[in-house]
Amino acid sequence: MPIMKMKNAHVGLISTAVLLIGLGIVLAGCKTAVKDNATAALNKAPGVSANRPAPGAPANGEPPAKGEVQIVIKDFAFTPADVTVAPGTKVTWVNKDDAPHTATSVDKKFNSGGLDTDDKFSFVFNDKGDYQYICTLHPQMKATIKVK
Amino acid sequence: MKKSIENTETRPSETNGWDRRDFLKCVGAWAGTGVLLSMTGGILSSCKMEDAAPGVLSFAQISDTHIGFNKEPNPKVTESLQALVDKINALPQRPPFVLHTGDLTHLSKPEEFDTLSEILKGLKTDQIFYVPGEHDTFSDQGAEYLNRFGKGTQGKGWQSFDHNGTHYIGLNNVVAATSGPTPGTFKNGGNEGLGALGKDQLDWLAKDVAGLSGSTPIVVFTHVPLWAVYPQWGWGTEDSEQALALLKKFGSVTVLNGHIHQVMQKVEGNVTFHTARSTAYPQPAPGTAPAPGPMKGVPPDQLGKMIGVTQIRYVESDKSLGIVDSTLS
Repeated sequence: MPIMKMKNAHVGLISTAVLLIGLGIVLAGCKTAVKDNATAALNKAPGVSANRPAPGAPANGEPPAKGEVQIVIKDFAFTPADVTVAPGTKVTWVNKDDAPHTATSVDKKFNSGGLDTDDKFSFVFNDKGDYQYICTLHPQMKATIKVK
Repeated sequence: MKKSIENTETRPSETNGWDRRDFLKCVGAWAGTGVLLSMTGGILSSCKMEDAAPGVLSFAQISDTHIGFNKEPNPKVTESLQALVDKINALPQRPPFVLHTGDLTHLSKPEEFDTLSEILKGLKTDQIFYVPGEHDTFSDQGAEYLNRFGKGTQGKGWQSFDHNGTHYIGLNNVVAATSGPTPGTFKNGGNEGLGALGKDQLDWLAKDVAGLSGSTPIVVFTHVPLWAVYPQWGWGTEDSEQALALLKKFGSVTVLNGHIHQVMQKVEGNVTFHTARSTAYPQPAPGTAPAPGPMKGVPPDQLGKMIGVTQIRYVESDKSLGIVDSTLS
């Protein structure tokens, strides 16, 4: 179906634009492709920096973050949809859609609340595990953060 | 008397008088159980609200007010809503009640609900009946919405009432706790972004209509369409078939909804499905954009022709309900 092809192509392009190079971060299933394209894609993506410094120690005595990952919400999809990170990684969602969205874990571990266009939400993943999350406005939007 | 009919694309607003084409367009705006619908094949057009339409105004429907939205193509949604409220108030017949079919707000913020309530206080009608949209419930499963607008409703905001022999049923298909990717999941609606009614509400509906005669006209109002307009975008309700099965015995069922921000209709047996425009902004036709959302590239002078309200009129001569969609400009 033409629409789906178009959408997939679009998502594929974006998926290369959203990885912040953090320590120990890989994209499940497509490591090589993303690394190869990361620099070019990042140059096209305003506000995304490959050289963003790792954040300092988070509050509440949590261990220092190991890096940062940014996930872009665009065209009713989280991109990349499945991300594997090390414990302590700070994940930031940014809504680049015209419609509002949320990033809400299905087991209520985190919930961004409503993110309007350009709004951001961050969560530091300290505990190992698989975190499925959705947009509660559009539950067809599904994605996973794997911490290991 | 100036009468002008426009469609959303090309007709200038200063068009005067009726011609045959205009007449057919306005007739085409009729739905319901009327004979006119079958003659025109359900082709819809926009009529200016001042245009005379046959029948007695039964009620008005507003939808998708999205208070809090402030971007292209309409950064001034409160002004648009106010202008449409003024137009309803200027109708020669006062609607006895008004239905709001959800997405009152854009982000469920208290101040958005406040603004909506403030504007609609000025609506000249006896009562406004609400059902929620997912934008009203996504952050707290509708707690704030129910606190403000759920008085007199059942469960998570469903309700029914009778008016002039017609039975009205308001359904909430954006909060259904019984479905989800995993049991107990915190989410709106059904799977894959579709609306969902849920078992509790369907059980209630079965009891609600059990004692009614099949000749009772039924009007259902809800947010997400009860037919599969475009499931890829979540434009449908996963358990709507179960609800419609409960309404099979009735000779006339009209289902009114919002959510997709455009006029669309379908007739299936005894059921007429009709989706209303938003008062705030249009969305793309199904499949014409990578994703749903506010339509882009709308020229400012065209916006008023893509947002509006709906009047539902009762025609005494053939005992039918007519649906007239009116645009802001």
